[in-house]
Amino acid sequence: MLFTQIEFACLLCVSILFLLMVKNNRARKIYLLLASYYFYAYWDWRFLSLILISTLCDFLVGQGLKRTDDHRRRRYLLLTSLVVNLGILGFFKYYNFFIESFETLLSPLGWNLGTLNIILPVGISFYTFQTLSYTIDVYRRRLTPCEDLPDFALFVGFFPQLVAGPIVRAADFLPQLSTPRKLSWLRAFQGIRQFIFGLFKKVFIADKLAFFVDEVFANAGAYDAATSWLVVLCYAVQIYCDFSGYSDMAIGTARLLGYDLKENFRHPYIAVDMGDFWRRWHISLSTWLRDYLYIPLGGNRKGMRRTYLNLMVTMVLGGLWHGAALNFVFWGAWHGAALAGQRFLASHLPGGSVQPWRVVRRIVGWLLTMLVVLVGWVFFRAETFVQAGLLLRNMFTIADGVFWVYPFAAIALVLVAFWQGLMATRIASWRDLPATSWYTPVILFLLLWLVLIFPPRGFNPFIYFQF
Amino acid sequence: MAGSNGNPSRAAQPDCSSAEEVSQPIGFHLLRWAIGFVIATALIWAIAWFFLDSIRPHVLEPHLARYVAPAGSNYRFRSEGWAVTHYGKYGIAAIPDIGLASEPKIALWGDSFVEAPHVADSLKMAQQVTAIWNRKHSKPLLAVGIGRGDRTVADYHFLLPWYEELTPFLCHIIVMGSLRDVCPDGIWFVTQPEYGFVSRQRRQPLPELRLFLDRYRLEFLWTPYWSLVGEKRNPLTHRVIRFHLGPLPVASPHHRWTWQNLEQVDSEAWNFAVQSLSRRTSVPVVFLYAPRVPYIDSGQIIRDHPARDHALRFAEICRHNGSDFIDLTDRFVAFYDETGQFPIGFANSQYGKGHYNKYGHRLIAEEVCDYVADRFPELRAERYRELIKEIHGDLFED
Repeated sequence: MLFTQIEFACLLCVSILFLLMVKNNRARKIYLLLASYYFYAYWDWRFLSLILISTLCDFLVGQGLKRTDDHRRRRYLLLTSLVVNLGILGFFKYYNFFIESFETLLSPLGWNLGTLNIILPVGISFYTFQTLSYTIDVYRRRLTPCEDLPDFALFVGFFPQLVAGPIVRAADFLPQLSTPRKLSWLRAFQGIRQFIFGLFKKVFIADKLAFFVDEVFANAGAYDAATSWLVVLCYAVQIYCDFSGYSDMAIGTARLLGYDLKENFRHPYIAVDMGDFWRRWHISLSTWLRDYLYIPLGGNRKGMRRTYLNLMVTMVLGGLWHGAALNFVFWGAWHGAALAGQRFLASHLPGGSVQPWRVVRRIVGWLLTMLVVLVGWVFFRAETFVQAGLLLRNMFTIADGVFWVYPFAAIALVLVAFWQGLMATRIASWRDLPATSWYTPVILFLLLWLVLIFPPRGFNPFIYFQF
Repeated sequence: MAGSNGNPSRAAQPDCSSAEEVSQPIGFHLLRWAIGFVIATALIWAIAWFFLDSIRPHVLEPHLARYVAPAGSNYRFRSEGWAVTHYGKYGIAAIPDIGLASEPKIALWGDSFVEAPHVADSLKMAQQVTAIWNRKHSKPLLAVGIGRGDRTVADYHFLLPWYEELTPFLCHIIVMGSLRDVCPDGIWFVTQPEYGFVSRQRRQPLPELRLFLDRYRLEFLWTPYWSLVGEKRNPLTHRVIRFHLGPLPVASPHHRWTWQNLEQVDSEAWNFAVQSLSRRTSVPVVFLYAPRVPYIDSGQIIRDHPARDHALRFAEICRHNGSDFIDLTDRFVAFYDETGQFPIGFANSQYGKGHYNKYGHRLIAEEVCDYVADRFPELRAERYRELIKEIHGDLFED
């Protein structure tokens, strides 16, 4: 079920009505759990079993960790959680990728392992990381294990963020389950406001750009340099509006139901360096990778070379998390190299506290960051390296070809650039659309109308659903 | 934007700072939101008037016994191209009343390629034929575009005598964007053991509502209404609404027409189609084939249409039955090679796909003018000049 479907609107309305009528916290949570499972089973009920396995396994591991102080036993328990969760993820997401990769090596020996016809369960990467963070935190004794199975199941399966994040930490969510959530007009307004923003970004901007982006990427060699640059910029806007739109809808929905989720995006395209970019882009994933991968690897505490290596490993695995394909691995490595390069430059370039120098540095930093991010998006979006290579060649060699300026692309770029720029300047308070201002209803209804009267061509699921 | 920040605490700040206003009576807030809705709707009305396709109501034309655009109506098209089409009598675009025009006329028949709501009236092929001809030749000619989306040779078969009753034509030119136009009812026609044309009435659903919305320029209500109520489909996903659990049913492959369907077409079927149409009139019937070339596929500019062999087969059938066949494939490709411009497609849709743009219409118009000049030499300026020269002496010498 997608947030942009009427079926979801019905589910949400029924859920809100139930929460308004029933004050008993346990009944509310049970209802939300069932609604969450319905939400997931609507796509394919068979894969609900995977969520149930992960949930049950990690709940039991949590209970086991609570009952023992034996270091070795605790490690075994953690290992069990890792094997079960990563095993499911590995099989459903990476089996064919690794088989295909090894096949080129093994085929000369006459070994043919053969790929399987596996459907990738929606949201598996998200809820696996979510539930893993719980067991790791309990193992590290940073979190008290959850005592109540339905509560834990709701943490794993809470439908607003189940299929595409944000990746919620147990420490943030489980405490919210212990007390009855307050439903108020103000919270409802805030939830609806954020949901409408997300819907607008997804349906009006991202889905309409998809038409242009898909066409040019599919025919990468045919278009000229200007069109190639335009399409990469459009893809940057599309993926941002698509994913942050989903996050906004998830956060808005959760708020409508009385729960708070953390922000997942903070205007990433105004970042002035790569570190800044990753503090603004898919925050729940980048902080997860930082806390559960980069820091345990040693972070920046073991010298520069090890820091560079840790950055590379973290980002390559982050790339692989996105998808089982070499282009995602390369995208991760590209960002890892950029982060390492940035650290190297930061430690070798003079700091400069003079104002003009700082301004120049910020502008150059922003331009370089955008260049790295845009080139990265080419690999992220392209289906093959050949396709990525063709597009990059056209971008950087002033190639001749078909010139196509899709009018909506120009409008969307100006709109998003204006909005991001406004965020950078912070000159206006009206951007927050406060509940009491006269213009808030006008803008919100306007956005809704635009979504309704300019629906996208065809069906465009969220980009991050494939991850 | 609070939405993009997503931070609940951040989002809540401006709202909490004015808590005293939140505590206003509920009637105040309802009024504020109602006014907001009205202002937003008014703004959308203005935006939609400019950016949205207008609603095209169809009315029954008694003479033709067909539903056509009402005389005097305008159709604003924004989905592909950017143009307004003005309809005259009998559903004919850009000519108020063909019955009143005294010039010799040729008819250009076709589907949406001829109706061409994608380009302005003056750029439509019929109007360009008239303009080019009248610029070159002193004897006037009026080209009449008789087109409506989804029409095929079966429709021309039934409509041709009715239009001829209105006004005589020198010839009928059937403009084909693809060979589907000579395969009526798509796959049905080509798979029937016995060939035949069926007269179809394409009545639009909810004509009264369309008329009402068009009259008051309320087209912005149509899309949400049609998606939610009329079509029973999810407006944002274009999928049928359902509530039962998955796995998602695999949709049966939509039986769409593709050029591969032409493999099934028996030459006898086309023989029947060409003969049937030719028998409906005493003037020549000409088939003009202007396929979607060049187009972009797999990163390449494709200059040859995959259905070219079938087009040649159809051309042979036309000639065999005494009808001329004009193929614009090479002219379209040459135009692209010379100018880098596609004769098909628009910036807001896709180049190389969709309908003819102004260049495509012009190329067809030029070809039609050349053909008419050859086929009807009595209309050519040179002949006219010769005649005048005989009478008045050499007025045209430099």
